[in-house]
Amino acid sequence: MAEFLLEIGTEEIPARMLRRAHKDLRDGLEKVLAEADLEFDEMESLGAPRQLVVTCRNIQAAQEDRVETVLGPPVKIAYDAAGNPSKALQGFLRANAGLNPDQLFRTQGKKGEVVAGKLEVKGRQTAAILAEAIPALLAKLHFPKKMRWGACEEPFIRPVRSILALFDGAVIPFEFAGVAAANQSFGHRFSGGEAFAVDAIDTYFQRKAERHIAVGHEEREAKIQAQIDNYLAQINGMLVADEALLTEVTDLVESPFVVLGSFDEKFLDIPREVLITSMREHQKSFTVQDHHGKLMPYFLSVASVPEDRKGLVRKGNEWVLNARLYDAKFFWETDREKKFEDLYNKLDHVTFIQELGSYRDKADRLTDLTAFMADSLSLSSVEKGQLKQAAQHAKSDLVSDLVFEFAELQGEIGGLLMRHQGADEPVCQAIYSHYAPSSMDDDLPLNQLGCLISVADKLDTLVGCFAVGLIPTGSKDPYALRRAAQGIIRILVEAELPLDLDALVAKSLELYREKAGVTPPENLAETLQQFCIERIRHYLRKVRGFDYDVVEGVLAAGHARVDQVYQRASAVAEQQEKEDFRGLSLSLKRMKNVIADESDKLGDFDENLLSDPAEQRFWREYTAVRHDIEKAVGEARYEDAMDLMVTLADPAEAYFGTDGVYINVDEDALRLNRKAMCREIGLTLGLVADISTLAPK
Amino acid sequence: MKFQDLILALQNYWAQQDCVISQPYDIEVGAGTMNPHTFLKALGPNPWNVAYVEPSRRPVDGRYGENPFRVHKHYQFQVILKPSPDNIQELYLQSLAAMGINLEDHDIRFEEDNWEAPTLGAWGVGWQVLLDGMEITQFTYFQQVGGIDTAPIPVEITYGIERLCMFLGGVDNIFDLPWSNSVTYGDARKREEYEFSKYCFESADIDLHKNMFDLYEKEAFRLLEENLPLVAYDYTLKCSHAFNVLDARGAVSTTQRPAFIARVRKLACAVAKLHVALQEGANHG
Repeated sequence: MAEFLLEIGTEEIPARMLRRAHKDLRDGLEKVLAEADLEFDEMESLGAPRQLVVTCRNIQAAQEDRVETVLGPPVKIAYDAAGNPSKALQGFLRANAGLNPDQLFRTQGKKGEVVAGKLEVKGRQTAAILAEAIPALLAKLHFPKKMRWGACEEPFIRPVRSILALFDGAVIPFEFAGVAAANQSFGHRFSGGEAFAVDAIDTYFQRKAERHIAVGHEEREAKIQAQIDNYLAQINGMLVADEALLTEVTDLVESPFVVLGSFDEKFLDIPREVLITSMREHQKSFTVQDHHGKLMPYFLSVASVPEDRKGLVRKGNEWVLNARLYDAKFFWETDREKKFEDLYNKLDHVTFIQELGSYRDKADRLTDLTAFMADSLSLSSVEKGQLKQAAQHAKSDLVSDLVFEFAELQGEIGGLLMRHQGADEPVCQAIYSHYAPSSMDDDLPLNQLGCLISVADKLDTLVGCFAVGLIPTGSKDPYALRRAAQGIIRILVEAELPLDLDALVAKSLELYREKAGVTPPENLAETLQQFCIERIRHYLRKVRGFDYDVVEGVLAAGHARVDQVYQRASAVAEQQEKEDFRGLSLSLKRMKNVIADESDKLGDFDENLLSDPAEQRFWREYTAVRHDIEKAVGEARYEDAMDLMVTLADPAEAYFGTDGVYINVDEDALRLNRKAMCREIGLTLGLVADISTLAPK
Repeated sequence: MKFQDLILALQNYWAQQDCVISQPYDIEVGAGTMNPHTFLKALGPNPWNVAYVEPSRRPVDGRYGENPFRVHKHYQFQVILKPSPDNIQELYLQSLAAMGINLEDHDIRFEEDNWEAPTLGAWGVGWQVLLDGMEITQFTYFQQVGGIDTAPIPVEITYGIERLCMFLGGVDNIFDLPWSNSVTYGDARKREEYEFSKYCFESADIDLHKNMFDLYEKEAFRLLEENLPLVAYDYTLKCSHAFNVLDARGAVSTTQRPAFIARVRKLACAVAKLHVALQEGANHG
């Protein structure tokens, strides 16, 4: 067994692409080896900004020799009349020089009997296989963005500057992007000395470390974490945790060195959100807080140096951050003096979406749409007033300097400015959080008003885009409409908002028609309905983990009250495993099949025509619970409703079972009346879900 | 370090690397990239190494000379090397050393930043270079210029020299930067910042600029008809500047903006195309 080491030396690879890049390289190499029938231990892949590294400590040095059967010409043309090899057979022997003409034999080919021989095939050296495969693999690796450089024709993630490729200490000879593989690696750019020779995996890592490059991200992250903890202990502070930032800086440095810097305390007047964002986005620095959660005038930056001998790295970072905070403070102080009314008016100049008018138009629609919601929710007049204010000013911060500078703080800035100007707290919180949830894991808006604004905002975007034909297709969804719909559904369910989605869509369409002069296509409401149902389906299945059958069964009983769809699904899922429920489901499935062919002929049901004791019992027991089922459904007590329905499993079984009632009698009046009874019962039992589709398979 | 010493150090350094030390273009531009010594010379097969200072006007960044970090006009130091040499990062880092920066004492990082200039139909891949957390340089391998794929690939290095100078001297206000022994940046430029901010934000004649934009555009297209792309390019730059003034003046709504940008890009791409075609003709003839 042998060992294999590959290092592609490049210029700085973007942090966001680094891990995927070396993992893909490793996966590609493993595939090459597997396809060549070579034995090997799992490969390891690592990476730092200027190198992609793959190692394998145990790998078969060469393929096994093997014997292959090669098929030649058909027997009937292989020999001439004298029994000597024909031209065809001679050609075959020439092409397979290793064959012994005396040891040919006959075997069955695809089109009859052929001449064949055994050929000994020498296994190839693994190094040779790799020399051939690596350049091809590098050329076809996928990256989010490739580039070209110099006169090189071969695009790659970043310019390739060195290749170290060793198989058991010997260079694997190949060339990629104009660079020949060699046994050389390199250290830290400024304190890592000259290029150096490598002969084995262990010495490679050792020399890299000596020359201040930590090749693996786990090692770097641990180093960063340890240094941060050390500083925090010194200043008795706590980190404002930021996993994404930690991952990013880990892949931005080769030699992680954390510096603790401080800034002028006067900047602590700037809102926490702005301070944190300023440090994170511009300086990729961590923020520190005390044990009460109050920010401290410190920051932690991760540099790529072995040490900060003269303290210049810290000083430089402090200088830059102070300049940044000076700007942020200036923006905050200017913005907070701006009147919200003026900001709202300025929105007139900010386009929402070309065909859909300005953000002021959008704010006006939000006001109307949320007023519509407020009515159907019977909010108090105080709440209505707050909702109106929040809707009108939800977008006003888009013209603030702070949001221009920190776009990701949209909404939050609006809330903070509103609070500064003394607006009611629910209004501030609603504006602050109305962009939430931005993902499946994100929290919902902070309060009910925020939830309503968020739903209205997302719905307005969704409906507006559909109305002017900006409909997502395949993987293309530039206006993130799927995410918007997903957000709406999550809020309706998780904030338990009793709102009718179809009615909201209709209202939004009406607003576009009447106020924006948009003429949506005729069947748009249905298109939107289908789009939303698809998102509900996705939410219930993928996020909530309900079975396909449950989701379909529940959606068959209606989708518009999304809050109830979820509750109904929960109630059904609860019942699903019970014996009685399965029995009822089977009965209902039979019932549905029985009445399907004559459903359009059925008249009113007449109780007096019932004659069979089994049908009399079914009807009697049904009427006994019917009212309670409807009441329970009306009050959204779906589990109760399901419990009541399940009490009918037994009479239903007696009715539809083998000894039960024969429905398809010849006499029309009797047959149709029986089917009418089934229809009646079926309507009630379908109020929570189409139970008939939930029969065990 | 004095502002002019920084410029001299960079000029000397890049002159030693066999760059043509060129001069600013004599038409208003928003960035050194717009100088024809970058925009047009980046195209085509011929090698080209150049370095120059470019006064770059960004009317919307004007602050009446009152903000210590933002100005309507700043100076870029621009370097173009075509094809990009294999040791380009090393060459660049040595230019920092030439300014007196001891590389071992600092944290210098290359962070992804892919540059794009929509008005020029140009984009590239590269980084912003950070010195102890301070963005000092935009480093870009041009992939496309004027809508044309570049081959070979030029590298563009753009230093923001005021910021670099402030950082190196620990100066907190741009106007306090020493330019020469006796003159500060503020002495030389503060009044200019005030007047141009006032002009671009308050006083520029909107109708006149819209008119000029149309006239420059018309002239540029006429010149293209006459196979004079270099001259047409001057008028493209004038269009671009007129647009920037209108933008700062608040006269371009967000809806109109993409249309203006598209008009400038259309011209820039047409210029590039014709220029390359004429160059090819010359190379073959």
